[in-house]
Amino acid sequence: MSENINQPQLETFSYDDKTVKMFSIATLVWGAVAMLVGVTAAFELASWRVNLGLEWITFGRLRPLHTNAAIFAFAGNAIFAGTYYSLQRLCKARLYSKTLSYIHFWGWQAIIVSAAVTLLSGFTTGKEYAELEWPIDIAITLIWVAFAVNFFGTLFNRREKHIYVAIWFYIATIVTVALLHIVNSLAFPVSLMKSYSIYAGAQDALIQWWYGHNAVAFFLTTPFLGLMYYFIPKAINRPIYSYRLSIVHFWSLVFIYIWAGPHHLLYTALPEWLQTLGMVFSISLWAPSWGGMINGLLTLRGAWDRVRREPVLKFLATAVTFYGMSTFEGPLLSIKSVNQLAHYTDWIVGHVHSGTIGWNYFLTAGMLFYMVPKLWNTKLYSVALGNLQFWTGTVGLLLYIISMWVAGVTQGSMWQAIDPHTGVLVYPDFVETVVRIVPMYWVRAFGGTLVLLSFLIMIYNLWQTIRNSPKEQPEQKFQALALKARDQKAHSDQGHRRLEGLPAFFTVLTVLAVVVGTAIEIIPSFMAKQFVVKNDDVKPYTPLELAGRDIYIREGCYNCHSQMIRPLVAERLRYGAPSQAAESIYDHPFQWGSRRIGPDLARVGGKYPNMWHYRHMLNPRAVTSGSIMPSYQWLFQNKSQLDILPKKLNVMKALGVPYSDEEIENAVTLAKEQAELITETLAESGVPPEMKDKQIIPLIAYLQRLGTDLGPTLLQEEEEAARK
Amino acid sequence: MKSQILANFSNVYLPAFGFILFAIVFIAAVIWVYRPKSKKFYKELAHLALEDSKHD
Repeated sequence: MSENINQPQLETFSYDDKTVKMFSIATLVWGAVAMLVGVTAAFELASWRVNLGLEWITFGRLRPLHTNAAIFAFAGNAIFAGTYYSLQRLCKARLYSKTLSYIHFWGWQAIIVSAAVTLLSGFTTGKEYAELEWPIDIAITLIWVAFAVNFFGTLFNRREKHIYVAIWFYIATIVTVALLHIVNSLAFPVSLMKSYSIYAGAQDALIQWWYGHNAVAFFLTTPFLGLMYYFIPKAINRPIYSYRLSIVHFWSLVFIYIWAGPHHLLYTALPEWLQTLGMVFSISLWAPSWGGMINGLLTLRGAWDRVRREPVLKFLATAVTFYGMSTFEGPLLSIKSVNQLAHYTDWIVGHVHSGTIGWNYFLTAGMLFYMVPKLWNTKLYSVALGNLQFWTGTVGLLLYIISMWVAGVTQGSMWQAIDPHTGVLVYPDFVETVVRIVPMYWVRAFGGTLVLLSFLIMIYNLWQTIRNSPKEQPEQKFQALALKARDQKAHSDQGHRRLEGLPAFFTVLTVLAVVVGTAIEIIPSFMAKQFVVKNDDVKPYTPLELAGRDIYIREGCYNCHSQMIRPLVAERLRYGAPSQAAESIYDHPFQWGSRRIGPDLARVGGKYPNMWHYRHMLNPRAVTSGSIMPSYQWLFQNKSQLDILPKKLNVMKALGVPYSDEEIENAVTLAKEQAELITETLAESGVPPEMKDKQIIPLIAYLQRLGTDLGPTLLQEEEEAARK
Repeated sequence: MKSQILANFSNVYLPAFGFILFAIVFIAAVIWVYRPKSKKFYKELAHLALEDSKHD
């Protein structure tokens, strides 16, 4: 290697594999926790009794824990393990700082533990995949910075001039996740564990969806693609099929991912040619995704016999296949006519799991099977167990996906079924559509259990691998030329080499690619305020309703109930006039939701008497036979906290909600008065007057307010228009 | 509701600009990676992943 250099400056170094080992073990631990929580949540949907009446593990609180644990704890630790392992080897350099590695590891684990404790206790911002409250959000930012410094420091100290494509994907991840997290989490604190998003209603929705879509893109896709580009060539010991394709794959994906996904929703009322443009964007995402998949699979060409025999390759190949499948399904779901049927149904849930289990879990499994034996200087304990894990996991995943397809298409079709002769809904009772798919919930829970089981098999297999490794683990030493010495080698330095040789410049280009997309996505959202036609009939919530809204958020009602009526005939018939942007201008945060396990609540106010809500929350089956909603007894035992209301109103005022000083000063009195009025109506049905202090009362106040400001007027307008 | 807001958002040039910009970036990237005499260089790069754990 050093033939042209008079004095080769060989340097001896070793890798910091202790950090990689720690992140690998954390991946195993949190993966099991995330899947256990997921399986529990799945059984809770199959049978409402499964929460055992405990508020902490009710579906509305458990589901955010499941998603956060799967994404940030399981996938997060896997990313850190794989990135640190491959980065050091691709840079021929030890991790930049031992202290930063230590802070990164323990800081991230502390965040996960605090997330688990706070989410189960009901501390949540009510924004999907970004539920953690502001102190934890700040901690995430700090730890992410520690990761970034450690990463770029290692890159800076590298002994290899060129930056391999995997590292490009890691860089895109680091900068974009930081941007997404900070912009979406901006909030105004009320207390240590309560804050309100600075955005409201439609604007909040736009930013949240920009974040949500790209959390998938830049936390579950780009880093794992980086891992794919490193570990598939390593495992099969041959270079990636086409390095050129990987470059095109990278730039297309980074450029297009950040804004193509949500666009299909944006253009629904724009001119026809722009709708077509939006469609072109969504479909063009097929190209880079499939380019990447094909690149991964073709690397394995001619070695399929090894894929059959070796668990590492089996998992990697299947992961890439599922990546192809879910990135085919994603753009498909973004086509308007498909989306109309699939939105709010379990089809989306199935789609997400084919990605997270099929792609993220399986790729992680392949990566760990490759890394763990190498890290501990030994061989995999059992290939047979690896195969057993593979088939258990695959069968479980297929059961999961297929049951969700069936449930989604069934329920979506039932919601939209209108009798052509009478023009009324064929299934007017929402619960009819739920009862029909409950058997599929059992199949899903069973499939999920198999996936969990497969993960436990992997833990046992890897634990035995580590246990049987040699006691003495001497640190391996490596030698490489210093970068300076390599520079002296006769290279005709062309443009692209210079580009790769300058990580800073490259990072700036990546940021630019991401920011262009973000700007185009976000600028309309910041201009949205001026386009939301303000309606003076829409008033801020009363203090008691605001307290009720916070209970609604705390219990995670948005996990099962949307508050967004789409302008479709079936939804108009079922729920009332389509939702207007003006109706949620005071909603910090918005609560439009993404799934209808229960009916939409945008216009539930005034639909039922107070007593109906009281009985429904105590025992949903008392008023809706066959309901799968859990009982919320604790709302009838716990006292509502009204003392903090002036502070809450103050923060809302600071965010632009027009509360008067008088309202803020008298918030507690006003709330108590309204609580008494509600309790009086309940007393007619025998509810004792002391219930007025309990949490159920503000919740009823909030539910009875939903959609009432504009609902009746909109209906009247519609009827008048019809008469004309 | 989003469509209702964006129906009022009349700046159709913004997404069109994004689309054209992307098309340019994409085409430029493809032309760049297939520029003449680059085959050997990319072959070298592709091998980076494999040589890392060798004792240099």
